[in-house]
Amino acid sequence: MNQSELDTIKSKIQDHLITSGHYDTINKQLKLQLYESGWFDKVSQIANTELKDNPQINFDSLYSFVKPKATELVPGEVKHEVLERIKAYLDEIIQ
Amino acid sequence: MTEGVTVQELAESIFDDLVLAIINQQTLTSYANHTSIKSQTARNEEQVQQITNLEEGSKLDVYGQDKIKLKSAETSRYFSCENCGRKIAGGRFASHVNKCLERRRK
Repeated sequence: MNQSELDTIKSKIQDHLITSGHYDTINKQLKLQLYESGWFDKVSQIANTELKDNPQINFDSLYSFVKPKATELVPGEVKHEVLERIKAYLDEIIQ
Repeated sequence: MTEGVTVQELAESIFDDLVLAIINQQTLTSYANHTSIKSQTARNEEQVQQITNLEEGSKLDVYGQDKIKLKSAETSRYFSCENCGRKIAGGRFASHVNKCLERRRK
């Protein structure tokens, strides 16, 4: 499957996700689990340390600095659980 | 087979979007806090000093006073108890009032 096909299907699915309210539920669950694992604290710590070391940094550079580190910090089990939920939802609507 | 891969790909792609949106928001919050503190204090050197007192490990409070000294001054100061009239050290005042009022009720 090529990228454009993936994008079309994804945008359709995302519309459905949002209108059905699943998006909100999954997003809330993800946020809650990330809070509980202490991920939010770690991410703001990374951002704040960088802001302290480099106070003149602009938002884009700060975001590119934080992004890879924050993505890596997402705990494996949180990622797994949320992925399973998304997959279960996809299986349901793809029929 | 291709269906399985697609579902996996789709799910991961949706997950990444969710996480990236959260990271973006969180970074923006930190950035906004940083810039608002900076813009409100940059003009006033004294205020900058107060804000830096908020940093971890600082011994000073926002008024530039030594927190540890203040605390010991507070606990060793004597306050008179309105109930029994005796003078009680700040550090023991709470537990004294507790017992003192209990005694009177009996």
